[in-house]
Amino acid sequence: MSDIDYHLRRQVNEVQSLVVQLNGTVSQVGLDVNRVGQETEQARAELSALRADFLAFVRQAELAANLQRAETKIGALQDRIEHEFGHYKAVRLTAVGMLQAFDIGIISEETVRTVGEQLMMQTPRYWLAPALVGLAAWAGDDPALCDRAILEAFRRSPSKTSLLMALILRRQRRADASVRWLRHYLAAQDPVALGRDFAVILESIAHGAFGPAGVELMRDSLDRWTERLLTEEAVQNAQVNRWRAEIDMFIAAPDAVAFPNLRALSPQWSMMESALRHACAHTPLVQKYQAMMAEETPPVDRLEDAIDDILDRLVREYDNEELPLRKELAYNQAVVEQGGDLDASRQVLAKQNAYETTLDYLTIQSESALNPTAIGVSRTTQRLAVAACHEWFLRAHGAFTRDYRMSLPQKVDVVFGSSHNVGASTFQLPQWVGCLAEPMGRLEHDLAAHWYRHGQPFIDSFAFPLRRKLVWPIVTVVGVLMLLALCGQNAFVAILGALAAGGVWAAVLYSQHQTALKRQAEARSYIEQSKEESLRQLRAAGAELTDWSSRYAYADAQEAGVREMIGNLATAGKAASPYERRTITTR
Amino acid sequence: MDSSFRRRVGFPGHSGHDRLGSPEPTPRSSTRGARGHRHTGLLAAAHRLDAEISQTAREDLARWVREEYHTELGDIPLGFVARCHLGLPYVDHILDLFNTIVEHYTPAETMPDPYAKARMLVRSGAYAYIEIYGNGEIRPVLPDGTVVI
Repeated sequence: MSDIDYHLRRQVNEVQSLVVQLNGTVSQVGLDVNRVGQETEQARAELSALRADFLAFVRQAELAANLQRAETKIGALQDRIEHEFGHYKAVRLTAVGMLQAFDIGIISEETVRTVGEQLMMQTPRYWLAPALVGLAAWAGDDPALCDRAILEAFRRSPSKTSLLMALILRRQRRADASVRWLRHYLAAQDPVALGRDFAVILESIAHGAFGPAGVELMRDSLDRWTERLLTEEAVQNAQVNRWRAEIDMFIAAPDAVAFPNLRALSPQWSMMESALRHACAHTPLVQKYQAMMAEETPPVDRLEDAIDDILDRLVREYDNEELPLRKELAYNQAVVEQGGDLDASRQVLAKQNAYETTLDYLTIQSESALNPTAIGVSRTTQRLAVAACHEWFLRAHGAFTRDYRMSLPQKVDVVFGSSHNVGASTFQLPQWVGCLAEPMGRLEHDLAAHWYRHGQPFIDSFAFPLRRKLVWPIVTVVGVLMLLALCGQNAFVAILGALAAGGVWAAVLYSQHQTALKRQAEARSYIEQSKEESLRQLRAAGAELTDWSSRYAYADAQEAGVREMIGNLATAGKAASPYERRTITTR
Repeated sequence: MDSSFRRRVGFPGHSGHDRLGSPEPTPRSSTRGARGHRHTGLLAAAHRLDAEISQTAREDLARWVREEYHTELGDIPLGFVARCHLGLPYVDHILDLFNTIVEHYTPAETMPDPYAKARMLVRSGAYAYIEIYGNGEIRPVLPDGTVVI
C-alpha cells in the first residue's frame, strides 16, 4: 500500500515538476513572442514609410512631367497666336505710328495713304484697317473717302471704332467730336454684358484722358449702371465671392513637420491647423496691397503719350477671336506657376473671369483690381479699381475671418491609443483621453496611473509563488524522515539523504524564483520605459499647444490691421490725375 | 461744375458717400439693412442688457432693442451671444431677446443650438456681440458697429 502511495506520489511530483518547467518555458515563449511582435511593428512602420516615400516620388515625377508639357505647350501656343493673328500686329503698330507721324509731320500723305491701303488689302475683316484708311483720308483732307472708310470700320466693329475715334479725337483736342463718339459708344453698351474693350474706358478715366465733358458723360452713365447693378443681390454676392477667392489664395500652405506630437495625438488637430493657416493669411494680404498702394507711378507728361498707351491697349488686347488661344495660354502659364499641379491651375483659372467674352460692369472692376494683366489694364487703373471695390473686399475679409474663427475647436484633447508608441502596442494598452485644458501635473499623474493599472497584471503574471512551492518539499522531507525513523535504518545516512534531497529541491525552487524575479524586473523596466515615453509625448503635446496658441493669437491679431488698410484703400486710390488739373486751369 | 469735378476723381459710382446702412428710421428691405451698421445706441443697449439687475428694466430694454431692429432691419434676432463680464468661471452668456433671459455658461457647459456655434467667435474677443437669427444665421458685430455677413 505505502509502496503504491510512494510510487504515485513520486509520479505526481514528476508531473508537477514537468508542469513547472512547462510554465517557465511558456513564459519565456511569451517574452519571445512580444519581442517578435515589436520587430514586426518596426518592420511594418518601415514598410509604410517606404510606401509613403514611393508615392511622394511618383507624385513628384507626375508634377515634373506636367510642368514640362505645359512649358512646351506655351511655346507652341505663342507661335500659333503669332502665326494666326500676327499679321494684325502690323496694322496695330501702324495705327499708333501714323498718329505720331501726324504730330511731327515728317511723313508724306502719299505714303500714309499707300500704307493704309496696303494694310486694308492684307488684313481682311479686321476693323482697324479701314479706320486707318479713314485717318489717312482725314489727314489728306478727303471727306468722302474718310466717311466711307469710317463707315466700313464702324460696320465691322461698332464699339471698338467708336472708342478709337473718341480717343483719337481727344488726342487731337477735338473735344466735342470726341464726346459725341463716346456718347455713341456708351449708348450701345449693356452694363450686364460689356465687351472686354470696356476696360479701356477704365484705363482712360485712370489717366484722365477724356477731358471734362467726357468725364461728366462717363460719370452719369457709370453711376446709372452701378445703381442698376447694385440692386441685384446676385451680382454683389458674385463680387464678394471673387474677392473671397482672392483672400483664399493667401492661406498658408500646410506644414507637415510642425507640431508633430499634437498632430499624432490630438483629434482636433486638423481644425487647429486649418485655423492657423487661415489666420496667417492676414500678413501677406496687407503686404501685397500696401506695396501696391505705395507704388509711385510717374505721371505721363503729355496727353498724347497717355492716349497712345491707351490706344496701344485698345488695338492690342481685345480681339475676341484670339480669346480661346489666350485662355489656353493662361492655363498653361498657371500650370507652370503651380509647379505642375493641374487641379490647382484649373481652380485658379476657374476663379478668373477675365477670359469671358462679355462681363458685367462690376465684374470688370473686380477683374481690373485682381487680374489686371488678363483684362489688359495698367497698374494705375488697378489701384483705382481696388479703391472702388473696397466695400466688397471688406465684406469678403470679414466673412473669411469669421469663418475660420468659428471653426476652432472648443477644447483640445489628447488621445493615447494602443499604437501611440511601441510599448503601448505591445501591451495593447486601452485608450486614455485627456483634455489639455487641465493642469499638466494632473494629466501626467492620470496617465502614469493608467499605465500602472494596465501594466501591473502583466508584471504579476511572472511572479513565482515561492511559499506555496516550498510547502511540498518540506512536507516530503519530513515524511521521508519519519518513514525512515520508523523503519529503523541507519538514521544518520537517512537524515543526510533526506536533507540532501530536500536541499536540492529547495535550491531548484530558489533558482526558479530568482529567474521569475529577474523577468519581473525586466518587464517592469520595459513598462516603465514605455510609460516615460508616453509622458514625454504628453508634455511635448502640452508645450506645442502653448506654442500654437501664441502663434494663432499673433496671427489673428493682424486682422485689425487688414481692416484698417482696406479702409485706407478707399481714400488712397483718389489721387487726382494730372489732366484734370490741367484742364481746369485752361477753362 | 469745377468744384464737383475736382472732388470726384475715383471711378464714378463709387464715390465718397456710404451707399449702405446709414441708420434711418424708415424700414428697408431686410437684407440691405442687415448689412449695415449697428448704431452706438444698439451696441450700448446690448451691453446694458447683461448688466441690468431688475427684470422689468431688462424687459424694457429688450423691447426697445427689438423695436430698433424691426424699424431698421425688419428682421429681429433671437438673441445675442457675448462675452460674460462676471469673470471666472463664466466665459460667455446668451441674451434671449424674446424671453429676456440672461444665461451664463462656463467653458465646460454646452450651449444650446443655435447659439453654440457662436461660442468660438465670442472667445476670439474681436466682436462686440454675435446676433443669432431664427433661420440659423450668425452675424458678428464689430465694436465699431459693422456687421459681418
